Amino acid sequence: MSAEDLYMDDSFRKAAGEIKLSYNKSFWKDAEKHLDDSSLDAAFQNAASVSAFMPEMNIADTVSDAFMDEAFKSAAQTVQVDFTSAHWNQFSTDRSEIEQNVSFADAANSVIADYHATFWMDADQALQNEGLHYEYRSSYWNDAKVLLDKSDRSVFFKRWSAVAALLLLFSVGGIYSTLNNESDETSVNENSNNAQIENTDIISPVENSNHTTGKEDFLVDSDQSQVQTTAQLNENQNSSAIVSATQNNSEFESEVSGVDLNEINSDVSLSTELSAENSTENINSFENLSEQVIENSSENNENLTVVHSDQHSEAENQNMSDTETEANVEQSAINLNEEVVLISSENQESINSNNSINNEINVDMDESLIRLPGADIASNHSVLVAYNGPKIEITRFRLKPTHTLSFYGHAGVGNKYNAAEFTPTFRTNFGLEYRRSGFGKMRNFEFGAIAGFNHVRQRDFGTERRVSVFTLDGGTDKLWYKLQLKDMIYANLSGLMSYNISSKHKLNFSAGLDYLVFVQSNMSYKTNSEEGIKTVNNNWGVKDGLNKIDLRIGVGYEFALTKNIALSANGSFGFFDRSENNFMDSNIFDQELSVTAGIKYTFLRKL
Amino acid sequence: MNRLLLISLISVFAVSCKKDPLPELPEENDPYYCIRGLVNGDSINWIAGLDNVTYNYGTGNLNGIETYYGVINSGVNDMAIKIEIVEPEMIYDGASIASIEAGKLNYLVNTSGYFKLNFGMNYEQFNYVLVKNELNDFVFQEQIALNEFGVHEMTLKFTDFSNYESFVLPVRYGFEFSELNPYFNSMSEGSTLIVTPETEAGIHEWFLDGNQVSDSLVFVKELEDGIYQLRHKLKDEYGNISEHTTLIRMKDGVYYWQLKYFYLPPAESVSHYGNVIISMRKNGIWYTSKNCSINSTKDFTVSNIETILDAQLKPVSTLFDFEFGSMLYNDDQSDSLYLPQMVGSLSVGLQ
Repeated sequence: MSAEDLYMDDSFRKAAGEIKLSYNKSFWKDAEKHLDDSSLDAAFQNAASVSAFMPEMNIADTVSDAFMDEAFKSAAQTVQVDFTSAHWNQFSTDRSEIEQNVSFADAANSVIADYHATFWMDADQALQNEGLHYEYRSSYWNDAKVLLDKSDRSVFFKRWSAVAALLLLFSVGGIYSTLNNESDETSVNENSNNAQIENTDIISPVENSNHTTGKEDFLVDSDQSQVQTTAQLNENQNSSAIVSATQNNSEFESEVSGVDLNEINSDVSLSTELSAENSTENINSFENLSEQVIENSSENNENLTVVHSDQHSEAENQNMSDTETEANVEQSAINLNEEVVLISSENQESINSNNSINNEINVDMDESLIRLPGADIASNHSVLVAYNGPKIEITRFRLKPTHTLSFYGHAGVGNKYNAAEFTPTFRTNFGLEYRRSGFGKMRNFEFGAIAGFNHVRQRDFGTERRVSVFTLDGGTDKLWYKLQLKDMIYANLSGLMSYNISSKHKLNFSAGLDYLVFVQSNMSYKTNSEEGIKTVNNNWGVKDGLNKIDLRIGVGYEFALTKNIALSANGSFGFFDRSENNFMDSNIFDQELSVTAGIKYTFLRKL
Repeated sequence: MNRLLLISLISVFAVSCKKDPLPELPEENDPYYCIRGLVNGDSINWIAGLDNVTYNYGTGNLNGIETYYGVINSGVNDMAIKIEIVEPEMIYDGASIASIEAGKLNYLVNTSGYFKLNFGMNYEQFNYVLVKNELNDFVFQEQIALNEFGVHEMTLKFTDFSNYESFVLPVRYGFEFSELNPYFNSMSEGSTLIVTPETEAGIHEWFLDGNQVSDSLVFVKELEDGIYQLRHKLKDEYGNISEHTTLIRMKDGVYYWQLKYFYLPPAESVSHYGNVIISMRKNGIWYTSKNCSINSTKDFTVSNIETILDAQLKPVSTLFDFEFGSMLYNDDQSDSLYLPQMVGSLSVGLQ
């Protein structure tokens, strides 16, 4: 392909990429009429003849004029690019794709859908079926947050790095331009083979707050042989940009530095001016061609990174009027610019991620809605953003009780049975203690149970009995036994309530039952005149003379040494007489009284 | 493993520990032998087995009549109380040993009495009878005095037969048999003596001069002239024994007479079997109720009779509760002891 052809292709592509016109299917219909070669040639010729950009039916000149600003006009006039059939061949090749694109554009244009929550559900289901949607999990948010933070940091650095680079470039460019300020704003080095356009304009940052000048937005040249073109922005635009394109023999590359889409606006506006002067159909054709050219050029250059806006260039107005076209197009271009910039600059990572929530969060729906020409969005239009994923139920946190199991051992003194006055005797007890901590208003209390054994040592506690049995021979058999109770062991089962004075100090209250299980005693007896006296010491078989059940009340104090070890002191008393007075031949009420101290070890603690 | 070891230790401990139960002592019982009451106003409470109070029992002889007695010795002051019960006429009743019958018993109070010998129609024999007195002199006594109840053996001589040969005649005073009649009548056919008992039932045994000569119902024997002592022993079906002994003379080859006797008023032929005699020893002197006629009006109540058997199931004693009041005199009746109301429990020996 000749350089001119390549140039034209690139121009068309660029026009297609930069011109964000609302596509109207009438364009295609109009163009379709002229799809056959002969008719197309005639059409192009006609268009060229009536178009100011195509003197002598020179499309290349027309296109070049469409994309050139005043600074390049003279250069463009001198550039003669003949139309060749290769252009149509290329068009024919891409016809199906164009038709598809047109169909999609047509469908998109014809469908104005209000968002409804069911859409999301359907889409969600479809995505799940495709395996493209993941149920939300709270961990996603954490992951997303991390990514966002990273993204934010990345964006921050990139943004301000870009700003700094731009500032630096502008500074350099300004200096350079200052040095070259005596010449025209634009200067073009003519080359028979290369069309080079030097930058004459200083790249200035976009001042529109709605968008940034992310360099990633644009065509990035990664190769040499640049063709620089500069375009003078319309005065109505608040930014100016320099588009430099590098063109070499084999590739058409364009480099954009610090250019925002306002430049495209300018191009668009320029093109629309042209289209306003010319027929609408030609404009559409040109726009389509420019779009195609740009896309073709981007496809042919692997090193180019092309960012396509999500929205195709569409014709805002189905019925474009010449007088309104420019304004409408400009406005739409601005909106599109904002849209694109927003998406590309801020949500670069989000596009690459699957976090649909972020998309929703960052998207300003009101601002993001594309106001299509002729289809006013109702002011009361509501956009439902609903999350139909799994719901997280937040419940009130409830403190769980603590269960502890401890082993305790105590020793102390108690009263001597069958004695009128208090005489100390030995006491021991051991067992297991279970506690359950309270909560709420009862959080300072603990409730539980005690199961253990209480040992009582006694001295001189016993009885003897003598009987005289008369015999027939006139004699008497004197029979007797003597019993001494030494040790008594009671099984104890009590309920426990504890009050926490502080973290280390506790008061304990217990109430329960003692049941006599073991008794050690000494006894001697004579029960038969023919047999002598018998003695049995350390005997465990006699429980006579003792009541088996007693009610025990205990009060104690506990001091926690460590988490698991506590010291305690307890006092307890019984309610019932522990001895049978008839058997013991005594009238004394043997009430259990004892004071013990010991240690408690907690070996199990569970929430 | 630790749990198994703990269980094993507990089991060993439970098994190895001594677990002797408290021995059961027998219940205290009432004393078998005791007496309490007042003796001449002094209270006594003797319990055999306590305070050195002892007791013994056995059988006695009251002028040839068997008695059953029991004696409680106080152990101090050499005092003792003896309760003696005359054997009953019929000891065995087939169901039990009727050694003592519950109820009130009479005191045996000695009463003097006279009896006269009877030779039947041979009145002149009476003139040739000499009775041996307390002085061992044979004298003629028209009526013979007996001061105490019992079986007295009278020694007689018949001077028309022999001056040097004497014969003994047992006389039962106050203990005639009434339930098991051992009496008999004699006759002869020529020199053959024929003796017929008044009671045919039972087992008869005939003893002639102390020798058993027959066990038939009727005693028949040819005898020469002389005086013979004939004893008839009768045993009933239950083993009760009664006997009667008398003298029979054969003269001139024929039966001559059978000696009988009869009591002269006021003495009556009464039976004193089963009467009671209370005696008390105090200060070495025995005081007895049989010498005090007052006791004839007093009662001796017996209750809760229990026969004690030995290992061979033979009755050895009879245990009973008693209550009595009695006056006791010494032998010369110079002193007495008054026991107004005594209660207790005693056992009398049966063998």
